[in-house]
Amino acid sequence: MLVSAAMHAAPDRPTETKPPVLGQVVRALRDDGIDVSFRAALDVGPALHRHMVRARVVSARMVALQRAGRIGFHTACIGAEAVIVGATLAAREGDWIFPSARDWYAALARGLPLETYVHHAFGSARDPAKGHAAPDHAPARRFAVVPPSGVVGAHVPQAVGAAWAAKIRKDPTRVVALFGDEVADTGDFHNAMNFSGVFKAPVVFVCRARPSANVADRAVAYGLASARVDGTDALAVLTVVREALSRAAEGKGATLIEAVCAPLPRAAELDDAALAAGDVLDLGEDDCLVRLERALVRDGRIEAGAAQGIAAEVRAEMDAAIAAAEQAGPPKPETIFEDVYAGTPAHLAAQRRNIGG
Amino acid sequence: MAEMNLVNAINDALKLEMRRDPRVVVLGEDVGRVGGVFRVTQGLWDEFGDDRVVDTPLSEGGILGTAIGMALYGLVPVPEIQFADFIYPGYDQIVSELAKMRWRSGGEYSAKMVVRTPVGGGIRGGLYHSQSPESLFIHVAGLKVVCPATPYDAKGLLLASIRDPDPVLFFEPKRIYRAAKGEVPEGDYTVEIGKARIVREATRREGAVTVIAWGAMLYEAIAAADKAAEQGIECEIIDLRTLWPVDIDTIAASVTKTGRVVIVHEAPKTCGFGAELVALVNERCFLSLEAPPVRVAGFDTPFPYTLEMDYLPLAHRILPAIVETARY
Repeated sequence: MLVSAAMHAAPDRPTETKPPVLGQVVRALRDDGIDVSFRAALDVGPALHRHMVRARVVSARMVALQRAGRIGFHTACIGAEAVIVGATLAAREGDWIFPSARDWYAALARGLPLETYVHHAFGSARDPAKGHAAPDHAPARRFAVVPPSGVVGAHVPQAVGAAWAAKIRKDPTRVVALFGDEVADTGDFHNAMNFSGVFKAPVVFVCRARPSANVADRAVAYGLASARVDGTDALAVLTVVREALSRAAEGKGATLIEAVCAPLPRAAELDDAALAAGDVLDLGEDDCLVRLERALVRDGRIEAGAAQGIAAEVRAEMDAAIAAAEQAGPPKPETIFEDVYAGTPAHLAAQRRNIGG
Repeated sequence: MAEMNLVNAINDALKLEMRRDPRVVVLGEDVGRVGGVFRVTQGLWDEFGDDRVVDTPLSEGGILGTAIGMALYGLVPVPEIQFADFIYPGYDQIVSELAKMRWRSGGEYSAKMVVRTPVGGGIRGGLYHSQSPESLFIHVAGLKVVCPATPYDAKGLLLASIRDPDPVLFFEPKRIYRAAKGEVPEGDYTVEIGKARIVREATRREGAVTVIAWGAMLYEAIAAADKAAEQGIECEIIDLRTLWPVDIDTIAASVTKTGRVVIVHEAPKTCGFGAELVALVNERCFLSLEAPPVRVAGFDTPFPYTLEMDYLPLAHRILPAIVETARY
């Protein structure tokens, strides 16, 4: 499924040697069912579905909170859940993930408690980032997820460095970097592709891309493998990322995956009433959630209407988390001075004495 | 003890720490087989190989971005930026990422590394091989900034920097890379970050002047102080060694004693580190001052090629400032 710069394998037939077919988009979900070559991913289907529903419901609620001014910021992921969840679940425990802010759900898919995420969004006294960073930039070291940067693309060369370090240490760790196609415009993107090509770092780049973006084509110039996958097809994303991770583990280096999906944020198109009602589980025929659900129901993997039950649980969980975050209140003023350095230099100790008058 | 120059001392520190700590890796442009443009990393690739001494593509943003990822993962990178003048393509990675990683993650992650880079003029390098950008890093919360002037301090401060838990910008005064010589212990020792050194103590208060300098300009300050002594003016000379966090206690004690201070640096005067030092001296020592604090600095122009010796705050420019301050 990957286009290797060396092998030039066609996307849907990795064993055949053909010229690269970069325009071809990998799909698992077809109108008449699931392509047989993706059935191995089906075991993960229910987990993909559960996480995608959860991400959708949480994001819709966060958009509403942001519009109401109760939190300062939210990067909605509505419409991109298949890419974020598919890529995250493709990785093994122990693989590192470098998300951008819009990929915030990666940390939750890895196990970051929803309550912690909400404490972070509210910058509460129980925010692991101590109120230092805006919402959707949560640290989750316990789950090998690096906190997103506010600078678009800055994390991508860092992902290469982490993968390179794992290679130097001869660890089995592989790294997934998640980002949107705007990153492909940055110098950091070039640095990341170039360094990963030179050092054959075990990293997989997963780019959420608009249909016109043409990101995967650039891999050829850097000597990287590439694939273009339907970003509304969670099974295809999971399968392609898994394949790229296996390739990385075999010492074959990095892969650039372009996951084609509709422009984001879809949330901007949703009205307040729909968000308030949480009526976000069916956004039409090209909705990644609808497509996966239909295939899983047809295959007997989940019950029809399963999403409603999951959504109800998540809404209740969100209600409790929001109440807890508001109750926790803000961090103590002196936390501004924590973690600037490992210790507290004299000038910060002096300034800390002035806080609050 | 062996006599070494700055290049030898820094090379010795790198070798010592790479033998001691397998997490330490060196990366940069031509740092491997070539041994670096100034040969500071010579011999490291032969001893430690491709995995720990890495020749990178020519991209400072790539070097620093990937080094941050290595540091997050648990290595201790010591990237070399060939000239400090070229650090700006990687400035965003330093300012937005390296400096803020611990803070923005609430202490969960840190990206501890030492960025080594040659600074300063006087080597006929022109405007792109001569700059002194220390203020641009001192202003950024989360960084430490070090600039040794002697081989002893270079080795001890580099070892301390690599072992420090915070990111350190390690500025090497290239004009004195080979000219500065001194006795350096062979084994392991550190020089504490954040401690200035009193190079020459004033024995009396009346008419004495505190002179603060670092890097290559320390030797110009010493030369100027020698000339001032011929006119009966005693100088207390402070080598800052660490620029941030600055050793304000040592400065304040000296200026409280002398009541007079001259600050020397190569960087442009406006918003140079001298400006912060004057402000700190005023906050701490205002009632002890006998004369206005004076800065002798580079001009607010780009660094010139032909007239570099006119641009630099050399001894002949420092001496009148000392004399005027002493006689104010």
